[in-house]
Parts: sequence; structure tokens; C-alpha cells
Amino acid sequence: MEFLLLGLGNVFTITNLFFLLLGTIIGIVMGALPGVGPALTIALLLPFTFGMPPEVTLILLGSAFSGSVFGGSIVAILLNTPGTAGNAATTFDGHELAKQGKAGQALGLAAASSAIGGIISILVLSFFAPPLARMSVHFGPAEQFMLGLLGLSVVALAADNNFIKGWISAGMGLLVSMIGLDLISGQERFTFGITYLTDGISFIPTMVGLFAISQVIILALSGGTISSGGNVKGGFLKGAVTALKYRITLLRSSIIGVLFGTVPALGVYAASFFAYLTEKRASKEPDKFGKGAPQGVVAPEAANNAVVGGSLVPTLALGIPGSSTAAVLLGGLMIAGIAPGYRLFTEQADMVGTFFVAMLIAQLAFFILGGLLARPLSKIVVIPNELLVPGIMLLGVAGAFTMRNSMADVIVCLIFGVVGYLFIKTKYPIVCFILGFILGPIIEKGFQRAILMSDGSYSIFVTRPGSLVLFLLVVVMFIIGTTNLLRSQRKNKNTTLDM
Amino acid sequence: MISKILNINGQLIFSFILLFLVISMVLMTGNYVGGAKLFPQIVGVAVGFLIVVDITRQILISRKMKKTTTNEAETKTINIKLIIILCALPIYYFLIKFLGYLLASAVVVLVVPFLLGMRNIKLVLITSTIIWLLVYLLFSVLLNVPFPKGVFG
Repeated sequence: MEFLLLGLGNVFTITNLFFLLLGTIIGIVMGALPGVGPALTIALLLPFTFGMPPEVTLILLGSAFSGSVFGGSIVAILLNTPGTAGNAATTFDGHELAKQGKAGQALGLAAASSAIGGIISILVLSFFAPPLARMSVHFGPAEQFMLGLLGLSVVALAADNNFIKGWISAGMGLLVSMIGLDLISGQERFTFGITYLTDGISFIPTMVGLFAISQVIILALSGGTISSGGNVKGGFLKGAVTALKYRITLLRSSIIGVLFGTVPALGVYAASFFAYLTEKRASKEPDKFGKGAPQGVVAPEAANNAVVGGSLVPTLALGIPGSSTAAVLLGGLMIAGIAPGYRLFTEQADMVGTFFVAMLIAQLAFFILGGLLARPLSKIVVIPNELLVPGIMLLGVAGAFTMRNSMADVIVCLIFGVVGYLFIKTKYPIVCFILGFILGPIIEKGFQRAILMSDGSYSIFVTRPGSLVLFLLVVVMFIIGTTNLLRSQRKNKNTTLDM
Repeated sequence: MISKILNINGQLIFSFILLFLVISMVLMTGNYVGGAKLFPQIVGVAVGFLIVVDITRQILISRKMKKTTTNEAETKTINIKLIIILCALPIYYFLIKFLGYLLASAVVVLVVPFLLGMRNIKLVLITSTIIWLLVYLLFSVLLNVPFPKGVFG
């Protein structure tokens, strides 16, 4: 607690507040650009921090990190194009709200949820970092495998009534994720001798293709404007107040975000999808998800910003980056003089406090900035689709290219754009494909490494306490998922007969 | 009803393409050894089985529907906009290779709205310029992304 008070004193100077605002603005703008994302944002800012006082460096990087995660939700809601991978799940209901003329409200939901998710995660980081970090160390390959399976158990829910198509989609995602070098043996799989494919199919171009380019095709065909009513109803504040009504959703999703962030390699996209689908499972009206349900924005946005704090737990307490962004940030923190480790919170309390307080205030800063930008940005949804289509094409292609400066990534993006459109037209749920694609490496790598560790014995999955608990959870989730599905199918049949 | 039948046929074709892809992938795993082939084989066989079930289901549904629509004349309409946009995507890629990203993007933002039916030249010019400038300033100037420069680079 003391280090937070020390940090408060450091942050509240005119210069530091200016850099906090600057970092937040840069973060929002960069986050809103598809393909850029928080890791690249921080990497681009690092050279500017050389020669800056350490506290200014921390404030700039911390605020940019938080701002960039929120920035991604703006384009996800308005253009169905996730700015960062963590915002992909936001498109399902956020963009639906924009289509209904409630873009401002959706932005309010996203900003408030992001801010609350971020605040919760930083408070958790402040008070529970060392014990959480110790827990994450015990999280081995067997637990990662089980957690991956747990993620897959929500496919039935994500698929709505398209149970078979949902699993086909997820299976295709898993198969696509296996393209490239085998994670353990190093054998090339499904590469057809193409060098580019040995690295596997890159996540960002795939996402941009599945969401942005498929959206380009849909908008070109539909004509008119994104907002069906042609006008923009509902304000930012209304959305923010609505988000506050979903207290349980906010808390549950934030906890998911923190936990997923704490475990290295699980990633922000897995957290936001898992939070979205958990919320759908918990909802009394799951049918409203995907049609503009507020919880469909609240859950992924709270989770993706909560990952920020979660990923910093092993980063700061152990020096093990919880994500690629945390790895880049760790570099910046070390340049600023912060040495990660258990004693960080006592020996460098003022520096850590400055960083945490900067991140806390950044949540408020992007919320306020989001409010100021919401009205003008919402007008995008009333621009004729004929004009938006080339705009999204330019942004999407630039985003796919920017990640690795590779034209091959552009090809992947365009191919997955068409694939995404075909999936939508033929009613194969894209969300299931993405789940498979995200969880594939986690499941396979976890399984292979666990088997190596146990000298080929499968008992490792039930003899480790963490793995056993997760295994039982997986079984329960699969049973509940299948029972719910059968029940809803029976209900649908009865309704049809009654008609 | 006709559109429904066409949709089901479209779905069938897509399902067969997926089945072909999955079978090819499963056959390819024969060359892999050890753990590298275990997962692709398990997933491939499971997905292949599900696709076959889905195809059977679709065929049964389409037969039922065809019985009820035998007297209706079936007409297929080709969506011009779909063809335009599906052609625009690869053309854009090759234009980037040839003209460079910035020049190709300028062509795309100006031409695509016209092809999609927008006739307000003033509006197209204004929005195209704004979009192009925004992408140029953010990606090229601010982020210094080394976009392809094409033959004029």
C-alpha cells in the first residue's frame, strides 16, 4: 500500500501528467490501428524513453500499454475490425450494437469495462503479485493442456445450435494452427515446401482477414450504411452506466483476465474469448449474445484489459514475461532501472508505485478521452458502405503487413478474408474456428511436453493436483455443455411442433 | 425457397471442399513421425467424420426441400458486387507489388467506390483523400512502416 502512496506523489506533477496523457493518446491511436497492438506500440516508444527520467519512462509506457488495449475496441465496434487480438471477441456484440445505431453506447460499454478491468487487475497486481507469481510457476504443461481443453469445452456454447458445424469449425482452427514446425520435434507439417509456412500461420493477419476483409465483402454486398437506422442513438455515458450495472460480469471477466494473464503463453485473445463465452453460458438469455447484448461487450473488454495487470505478475515478481507485450515492457522497465524479482516491491517501492499509479490513472484518462471521441467516431457508422469498403481494405492490408513487414502476411490476410466470408455464408461459426486456432498450440504443446516430462505416462494429467482439478472441470463443462445443447434442441423442437 | 436451396447447395460444395482439405491433411501426416502426427491425425479424423455427418444431413434436407419445390422455376442470379469485390482483393495485392502500397491504395480508394455504385464524385474525392492521408500519416510517417514501393520506388 505504501508504494502506491509513494507513486501518487511521483505522478502528480504537470510534466508527468502531460506524459501520461500523451502515452494514453498514443496508446489509443496505435491500438486502433489493426496489426499494431500494444507490443509494437511500446517497442516504438522505447527509443524515445532513452534519456528520460525513469519515472517519466514508466508513466509513458504504462499509460500507452493501457490505452492501446482500449484503442483496439474502437475499430472493433465501429468497423468489425479488431485493433488488437484481444478485441476480436468484442466485435460479436459491439459491432451489432453499432449496426443498431448504438455505436456511442457500445464505446461507453467498452471504455467503462476496460477501465474497471484494468483497475481491478492493477489492484490485484499491487497486492497479490508474489503469491500469484508463485502459483503461476506451478502451472506446468499438464495444466496448460487441461486449460486448453477447458477452453475448447465452450465450443458447443459458441456454436449455438450449429453443434456439428461448431466442432468442424473448431477442428479446422486446430488443424490450421498445426501448420508449420512441430513445437517439440521440429518437423515441418503441412508446409508444402513453402518457407513462409514453417513459422506457422501468423495470428494477426488471420484475425484481420477473418474479421476485416470478410467485413469488406459483406459491406460491399449490403450497400447502405453500417447503422441500419441511418442515425446514431444513445450516448457514451449511457453505455458506461449500463456497464456498471453488470457488476458480476465485470468482476468475473476481470478475474478471468487476471488469471489468464498470470499464466505465461495463454494470451489476451484466449482470455477475452473465454470471458465472452463464460458470460454467455452464465446468462439467462444466451440467445441475445451476438445480437448486441451489452454483456457481450463488457465481458471481453474487462477481461482483455485485466490481462494487462495479470501478465505483469510473473513479469515483475519473477522476471518471466506473461505475454509478448510484457516482454517488451520488461525491457523498458529495466532500462528505467527496475529490476524484477521478489524484492522489487520493497527495494524499489517508489518506482513500482509510480508505474502502478500511472497505469491506474491511465484507465481514467482513456475513459475520459473515449468519451470525448465517442460522438465524432460514432459518425463512421453512417458513412456509406461504398466509401468504407476501400478504407477498411487499406487499414486491414496495412495492419497485416505492419506486423512483420511481409507481403506473404497480406496474402494470408486476403485468403482468410474470403474464408471468413464463406464461413459466415455457410453458417460455420467463426468464433469456434478462432477458439481452435488460439488453443491448438497451447493444447498440443502442453500435451507433448507433459508426456515428455512423464516419460510417456498419461497419468501426469491426473496425478498433479492442478491438472486433476482442471480435468474434472473439463469433464463437468463438457457434460453441462452437451446437456444444455440437447435441452435447447428439444425445446426448439417442441416450439416448432406447437407452431 | 429457391435461395434456400441454392444456399444449401453452396453449403454442400463448401463442406466437400473442407472434407477434401481434411482428408489431404490426414494423408500427409503419414510422413510424420512420433508426436508430430498424433494430434493432426486425431483432429483430422474427428473433423472428417463430423463433415461426413454434416454432408449427409445437408443432402437429406436438400432432398426434402426439392420435393416441395419441383414446380418452381429455379433461377440463379449472379451478384455483380460480389464478383467486383472478390476481384478487387487480388488486384489490390498485385497493384501493391507493382505500384507500391501508397499508390495502389490511392487507386483503390478512388476506384472501388465507383465500382460499387457510388456516383457522388465530390464525396468520393473528399473521403478518399481523408482515408489515404490518415493511413499515410499513421503507418508511413508515424510508424515508419517500410511499405512496398513498387516499380516507381
